[in-house]
Amino acid sequence: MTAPFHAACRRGDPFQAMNPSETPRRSSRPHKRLLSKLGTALVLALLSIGLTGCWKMSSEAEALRDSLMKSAAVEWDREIEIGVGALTLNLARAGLAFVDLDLDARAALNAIRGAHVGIYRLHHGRKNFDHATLLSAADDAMAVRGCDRAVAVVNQRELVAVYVPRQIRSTRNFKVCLVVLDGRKMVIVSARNNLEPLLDMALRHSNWLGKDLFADMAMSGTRIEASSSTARR
Amino acid sequence: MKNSIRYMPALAIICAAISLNVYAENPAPGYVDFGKFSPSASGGEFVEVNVKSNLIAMVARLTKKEEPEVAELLSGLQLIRVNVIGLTEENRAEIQERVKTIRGELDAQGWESIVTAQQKNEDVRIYLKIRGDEAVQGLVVTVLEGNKQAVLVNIVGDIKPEKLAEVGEQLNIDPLKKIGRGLKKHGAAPK
Repeated sequence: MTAPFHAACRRGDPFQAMNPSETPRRSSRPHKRLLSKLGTALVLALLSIGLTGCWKMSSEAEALRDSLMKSAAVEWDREIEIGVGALTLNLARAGLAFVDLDLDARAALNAIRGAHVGIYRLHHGRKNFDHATLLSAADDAMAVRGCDRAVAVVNQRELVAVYVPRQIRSTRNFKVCLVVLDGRKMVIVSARNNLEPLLDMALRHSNWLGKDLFADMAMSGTRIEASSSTARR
Repeated sequence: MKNSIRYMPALAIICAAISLNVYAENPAPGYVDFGKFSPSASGGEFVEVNVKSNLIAMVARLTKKEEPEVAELLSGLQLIRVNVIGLTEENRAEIQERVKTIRGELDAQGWESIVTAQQKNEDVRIYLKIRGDEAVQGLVVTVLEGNKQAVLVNIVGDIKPEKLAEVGEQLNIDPLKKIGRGLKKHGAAPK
């Protein structure tokens, strides 16, 4: 018997010993198996990141939620917390490419880079919240995260607040965080958007619905004086 | 030499902090501090809009292509602040007094009252901060709608009155049209 045969036997592979011509092909199989395992592991990792990321809120949304819940000092039940990232949205866009969507809906879908939504319900009935306290707590929590309140609207039991970053680096990756609260439910949304298509949409639909105070007054015969006062130094 | 290089980063940070502090303590001439408003406990209407220069500049960049006049108008602005406060039994007296105080302060600080409009229950005043004869640095609108609500608007920055009316026409924003025409009539435009 030859030396290679003995070596193959010592390795426990008599087949190789008997068929030395098989050696080059067989040595590539472990390599392919390794690549295949790595690929599977990568896909599983991506899937698990995607899936676990689906049930988590962004850090800004969490901070906003926690500050409001703490200052409201009541018990909340979580109805849902869900997030969609770039992967999920790209899949959605790919799927909806075959659907006949309204222009604005498609523009909105294309504009979103990622979103997290949390919906919470009061454990017991309704409550009249102290909106001033809630806003103050939310402002403090968001300020730590580099966000300022741009808009706040309060009407009876409803509160809507919108927070935007203090530093805006890119219009294509603009983050916004908003909360809508009524006496019973709280909805928190955190989204990253490309502002350009959204602004195009807004400009297409620009139609000022604000109160025309001056027109009302003109119709009722109000006297309008254009006056100037001497500047006092 | 080595010691001075070691202290350079610290010195740079201190200088930056000082300059930021100075900027914070010296707001723009057209800025008016209305004070802090809070929603009423009894659930009256409350709206607060506070759009700063970073957001305004971003919108100006985005609208440059589609609406260049709007972009030009926005590019000079530093702050847009709007407060709408619903008047209730609890806050009516306080808010009315605050608006009166703000108007007094504006008169004392050299703001020009260019529009005064009074109806039965509505009281509107528009003020401008003008630098020399050339530039409008700030605009303040104060409205007391009887017992219903108070509205305060402060726009800070390089405001071009002739552009206000144009933008109002283009975007069909009636209050802007009226304000712009009022300013033009008054002659508050750069010469």
